[in-house]
Amino acid sequence: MTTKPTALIIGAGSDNFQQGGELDYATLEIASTMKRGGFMTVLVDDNPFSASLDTTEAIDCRHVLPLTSRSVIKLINQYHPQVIVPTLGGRRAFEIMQTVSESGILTEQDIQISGVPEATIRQVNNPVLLNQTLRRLDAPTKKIATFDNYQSALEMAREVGFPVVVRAVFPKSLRMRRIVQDPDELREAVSTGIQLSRSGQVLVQQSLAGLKEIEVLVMRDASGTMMQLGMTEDIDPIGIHAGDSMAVLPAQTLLDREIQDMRNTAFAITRKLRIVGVNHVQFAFDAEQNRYYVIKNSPYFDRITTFTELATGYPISRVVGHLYAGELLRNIRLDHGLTKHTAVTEPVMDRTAVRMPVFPFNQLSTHKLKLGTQKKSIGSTIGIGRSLIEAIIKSVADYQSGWHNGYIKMIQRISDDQLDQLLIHPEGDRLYSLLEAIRRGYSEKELAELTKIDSYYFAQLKRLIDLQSEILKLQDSPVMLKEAKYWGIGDGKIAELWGEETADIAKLRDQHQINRTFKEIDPSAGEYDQHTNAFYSTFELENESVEESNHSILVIGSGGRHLGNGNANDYVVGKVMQELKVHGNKTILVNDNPSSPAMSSLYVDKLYIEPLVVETITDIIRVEQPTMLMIASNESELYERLKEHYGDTITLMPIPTEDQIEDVVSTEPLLEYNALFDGQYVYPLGITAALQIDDHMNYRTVAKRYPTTSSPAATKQVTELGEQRVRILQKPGLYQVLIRADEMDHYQIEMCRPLPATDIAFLSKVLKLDLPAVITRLALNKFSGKLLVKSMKQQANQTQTAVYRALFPFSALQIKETPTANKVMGAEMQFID
Amino acid sequence: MTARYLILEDGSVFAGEGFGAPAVTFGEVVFNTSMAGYQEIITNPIYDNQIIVFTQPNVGNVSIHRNIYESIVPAAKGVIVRDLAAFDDQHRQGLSHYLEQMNIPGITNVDTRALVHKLRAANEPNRGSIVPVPDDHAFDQLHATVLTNQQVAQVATPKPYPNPDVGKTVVVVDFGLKNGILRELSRRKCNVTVLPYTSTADEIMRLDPDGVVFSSGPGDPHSLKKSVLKMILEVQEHEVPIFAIGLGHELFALANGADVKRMPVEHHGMNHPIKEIITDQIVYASQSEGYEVKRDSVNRSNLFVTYVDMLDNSVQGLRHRKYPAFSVQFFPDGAPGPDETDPLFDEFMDLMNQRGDEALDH
Repeated sequence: MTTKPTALIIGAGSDNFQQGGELDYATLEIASTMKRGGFMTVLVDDNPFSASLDTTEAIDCRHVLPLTSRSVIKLINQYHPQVIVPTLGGRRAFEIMQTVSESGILTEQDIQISGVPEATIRQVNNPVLLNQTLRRLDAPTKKIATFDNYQSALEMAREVGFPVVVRAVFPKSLRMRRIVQDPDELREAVSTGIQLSRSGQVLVQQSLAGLKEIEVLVMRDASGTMMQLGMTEDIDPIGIHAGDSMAVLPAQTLLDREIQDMRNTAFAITRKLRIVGVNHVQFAFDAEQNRYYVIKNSPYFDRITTFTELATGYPISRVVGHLYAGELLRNIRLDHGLTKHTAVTEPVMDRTAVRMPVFPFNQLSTHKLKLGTQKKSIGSTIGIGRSLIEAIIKSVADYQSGWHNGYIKMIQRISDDQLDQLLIHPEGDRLYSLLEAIRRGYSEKELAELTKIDSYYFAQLKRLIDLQSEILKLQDSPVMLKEAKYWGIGDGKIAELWGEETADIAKLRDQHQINRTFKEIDPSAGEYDQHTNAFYSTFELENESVEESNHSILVIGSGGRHLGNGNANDYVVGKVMQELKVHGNKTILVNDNPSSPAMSSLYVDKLYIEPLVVETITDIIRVEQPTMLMIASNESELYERLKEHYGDTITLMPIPTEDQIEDVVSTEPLLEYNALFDGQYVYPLGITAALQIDDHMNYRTVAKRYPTTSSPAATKQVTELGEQRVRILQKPGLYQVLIRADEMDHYQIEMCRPLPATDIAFLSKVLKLDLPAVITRLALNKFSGKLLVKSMKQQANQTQTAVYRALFPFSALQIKETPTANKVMGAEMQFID
Repeated sequence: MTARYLILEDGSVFAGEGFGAPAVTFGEVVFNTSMAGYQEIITNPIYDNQIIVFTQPNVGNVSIHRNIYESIVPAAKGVIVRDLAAFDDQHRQGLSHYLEQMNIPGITNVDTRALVHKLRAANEPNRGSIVPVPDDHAFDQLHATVLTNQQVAQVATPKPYPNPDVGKTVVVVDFGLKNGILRELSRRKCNVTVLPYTSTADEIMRLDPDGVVFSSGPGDPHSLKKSVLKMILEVQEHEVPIFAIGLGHELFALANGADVKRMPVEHHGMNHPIKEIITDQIVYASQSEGYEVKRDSVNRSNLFVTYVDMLDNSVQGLRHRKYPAFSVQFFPDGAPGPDETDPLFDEFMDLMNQRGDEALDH
């Protein structure tokens, strides 16, 4: 008898600043590929928003456990897996993996680690070890040395060039870190540092601030075949976290010679670390000196892997799934219309992709907006176009952010001095200060000096500004309109410049047949006739997208991640699409979040990577003729506009991803009566208790538990109250009634609202009930109450209590704010007996 | 900028805006999928009589650099891009200005993806013309134009010239040499003499070379005189190490009895997996090829296949069973492109060193 080999995957845990969705996406793709390759897949995670945990096409056995080495060891003893996958859980999974491996259990049970050898995990976890390896490879790293006197420190500073960073070695009390620009400053810093140091020494290191940051993604298989999947260039210089930088794929300002040098080094490191799968190598590139330095090496999935996957059309995650299942790149056969050897062909692009960070600042009352080496963005949007200008415009076109957030108007009013400050010390919406500077006539050279951004980008932005002034001059000119659309300028912007309505522009486009065309994202830049069924739009000759099916449903995603619902939105959207497919529909998704698990091939038949704006969606509807339009309801502006357009012709369904505007957090326990209303009957989904625990620390949590600890009498009372409230509603859907006890212990209804996406995701896991599937069936008129009642009856026997704990961005941003539901960044959950 | 058009023999017209020189040109239209290195590509003499379409949409992002030319006078007949990413800088030369000086026309704002779809579906190379007006006259001109097959004569040196250094003495026979080959030999301190492709074996051997390189170059290997094949065979019989690249590889194959055929669609790029048969390793290299050695025509008694392109199964490398001679279809010197096959130059050096050792033994 042969038993299936088992793969144990360490999950990523709650969404935070470092990750949000992209690991869930990769887990779905990799696990489903391994499953098809004959593996039984086991996932351990504590993220209530995880779609992978609830997707049986990817995960056979799910375990909601705290992400610790103890949980992993427990599961090893339960399943005796053949392989453990640590590359889908970020840095923490590597740390857990090291502890697990040091326990000896891997050798004992002969378990392989997917993707990286044990020694590599130790090196990645320990920068000193990794640096030694890099030196042995002659890979250029930044110079760093300790000194006990000024003279020798000066020699080194002269050798590597100012500025240098000076730090005290083993500081007595105060930590010291100073960037010094000249010998005088160095003398002072060295003397202070020596005094502060227990060992009387200072650490002097070369400063890489201001250099270009280049991110190389390498793929390697067990036979040693290596390919470059992409080279992303960060527009912002080093000194600003790569995740907070605007980024472009492919690299724009490098000579081939420079690209090849970095490729060679990235390959050498990947080979030395014996990585199987992806390796993300970050470089600092000094264009003036033509030198480069390795600054980081991450052999696990992260934001760059999904961004590269979407932008190139090369299915990175699925290919890695095949590699983890033991295949070689040369033997992998990909389905979905790709040619025979696509897995081993380096992807090339005939498009440009921009990744634009999304910052949470407008959701917080913080004034600490300055960007630096700590990551502050919580999500991103992707714009794909046939020119850099078009890609940039598309990356900020979403109504939720970008042009529409008022920042650009604010920035037009600031003084030149203030603008200089913004250029030197950038804040969240950096693009707008750059555009404003160009508008005010700053030269490209001057801007390059102030910002350390390559002047090429200013030349491109200047073309955009010039184009806008031309548009302003030529009102209603069809030639001008054609030109504007060709470079990606939105109808809204043109309308603003011409003082007209957006709809007028659309009309003018129709009149002059200025039509949007869709291009397929294929990884061979058109060389081969192959299909990914992923598209983006532009205004050119050839259109490649045709109607997918006469049973298609167009789903509008929830856009870039923001505080409040975060990836719970993507959970709901993804799971709804999965159910739509079950009922024989083709799902077509429009989204612009490169980290969204909703884009998984398990959920989506056809993908449009496009900003969520009416003009694009209108054109997609023209092509696809969908039977139904489903919209993530957090895109409220879009929803209203589409309702205006299509309310009478196409069924329009909101997917419940509302923002949690209301502050539901209080120090008093609040009961949440959850229920499904099908228009006639109310199906109770249990009561959760929401609590705020103010522990007087920086780190605060909001918690929920299920079931509540209320007495049976109280439960009965709350259930009755809630049911009455829901029964009087008009629309079917998932609802939540908030109920609080007054001083007299009388229960009062505070409000009734659609069940938030976060709670849909949490309750689905707690009740082991696919709530997104339930609402989908309601929408399709295929809902049967019997199944739901049966499922809820089983709940009565459940002895476990589920606890949900929300996480906030405050401590990472070093700010203090009241935790409210609309500032939730992620969450953890646990079952306790 | 003014309107310019690329017209193709099949009657199709691709409109865009002109840059570079305002010249009217004719050529075969080929596409290159490399994402960087436009200067090296445009200056590669292999593009003689050809109009290059870049699939990478923004081209011209970086300025022209003095140390990355692949030839002094580019032979290409035109450059087609989606977005000429021009910059305004008096201190650096941009693509448009460079092409203007070199009298090469360019067209930007072209739907290059649509164009590539047309080109890849063809059964034989598409001929096209860059014109200011796509009228009947322009098409008549295009149909009437006979493209020369004397491409090697157009780009290769008519006279010998030296590139002295202190190491091994190497003769490079120039069929339309790209500088990368000289760069790699120079990095290995070779004392190089470049000879015209019309040189005889005697003229070559008179220089007493440690090794001979047959360079890459443009066009159809059959268009060259039979005397070239004779020369190759004679040099080979001297047992002098031979390294043949690109067109040189095709000629080496022809000289040794293999057939070479026209590919329906030329391949220009650097992303194809190429398998080295003996090690079973996969490498990536810069490729630019319109002809391929027919695999079943390789006479196994004197040649064997060393490299194969995994996507189109084309022969990418050959080695002689008897003589110290080997060849590759791709460009091991990169420029632009990966360095993974650069060690082939070291292999050539090894062959020359071994021969030196043997000579001492005798």
